[in-house]
Amino acid sequence: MASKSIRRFLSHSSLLVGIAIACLICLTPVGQILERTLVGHVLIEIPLLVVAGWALGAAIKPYLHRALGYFNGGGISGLLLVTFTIAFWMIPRWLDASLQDPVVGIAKYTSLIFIAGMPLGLSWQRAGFITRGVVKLEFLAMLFRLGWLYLISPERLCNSYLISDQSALGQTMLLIGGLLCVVWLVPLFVGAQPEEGSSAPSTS
Amino acid sequence: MSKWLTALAISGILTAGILSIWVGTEGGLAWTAESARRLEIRRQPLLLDNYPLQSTKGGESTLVNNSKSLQIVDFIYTSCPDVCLAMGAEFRDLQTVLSEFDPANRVQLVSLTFDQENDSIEQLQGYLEAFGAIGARWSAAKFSKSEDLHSVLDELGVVVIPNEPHGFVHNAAFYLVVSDSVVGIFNIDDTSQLIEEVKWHLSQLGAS
Repeated sequence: MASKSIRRFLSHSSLLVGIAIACLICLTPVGQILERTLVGHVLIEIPLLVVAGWALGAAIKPYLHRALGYFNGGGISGLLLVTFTIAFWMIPRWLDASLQDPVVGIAKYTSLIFIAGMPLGLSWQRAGFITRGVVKLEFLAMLFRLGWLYLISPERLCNSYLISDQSALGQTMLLIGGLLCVVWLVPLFVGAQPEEGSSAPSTS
Repeated sequence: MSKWLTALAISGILTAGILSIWVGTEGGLAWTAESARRLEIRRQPLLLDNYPLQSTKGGESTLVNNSKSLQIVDFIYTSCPDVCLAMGAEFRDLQTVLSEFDPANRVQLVSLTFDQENDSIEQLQGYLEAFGAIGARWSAAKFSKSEDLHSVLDELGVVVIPNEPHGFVHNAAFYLVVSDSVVGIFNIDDTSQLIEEVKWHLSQLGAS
């Protein structure tokens, strides 16, 4: 009984957190301020939108868990959707377009919340150790690929940003990639065998 | 049952995902906004409106030119510290190359300023002099109305952003205008393709 009400409370607070972050970015000048720099746009705004979606996904999970189970075995469909959605917004053309064209801007906000963040929140717990590993590796690879590209490109890839901004993004991506390598990979070699779902915080 | 549905969902998402990236980059050809715009103008030349300009040639003129001539256009501002200097130097080189196969000046070079506030005709004249522009070949101009400038920049996909502490940055390119349409957008650091195309258009115009 107690655990049920705690769960309900968590679900509600997660819903509020998700809505709060989404509103903060989409409806207040915060989004525009973050979009002034490439680092703010790609490494703060986009992740925040995904986090907002994740929180919303976590909030509605209890209601959808069974129904989604049919389509989302092992969380693979959901995580694939997340990967493609994020990859799409990493295309410089569309990142640029989201600033120049309000329709594309709205598409970016909604897709990152509802078809990146939300499926991530709905799928991560379902994913096994191997699936999580693949997703993490792909994420690292994306950071290194894009980081390198942005760092060495002599041309501006986005019309809306300066070249110095672009190399700053490249450096930051490589730095985050390096840090995540340590955080994610070192525990695999040091210490006990990882357990399934060990990276998920558990209160039980 | 659930395995099959999951497999179905995975194949659907894979197809939609690959398709959206394929379509979103025109089959892998347009990863940046600039390359997308170039591709679009290649497929469908951009018809220019008859915007009035004030030219260093004196009096009013317009970009639209129905006579048998070609124009290579770029956007500059005279207080520009870097990329416009590179473009000015490229135009100077183009001037030399063009005189070899087009002594009649059928190919015109036009530098348009996007600094409506600060660039006067006198300043544009100074810019041309600084690069040793030959008057019959290379002129500079400003739009008579600022809104015309903005609609042209918009149509060409030029984004001008402020570069602190001074100046602007924009996606610089050379625009090839044949009579009344922009038919191609070219890199400023390699004009060989532009020259080839100019020669081809000249031969077409000469033949007709």
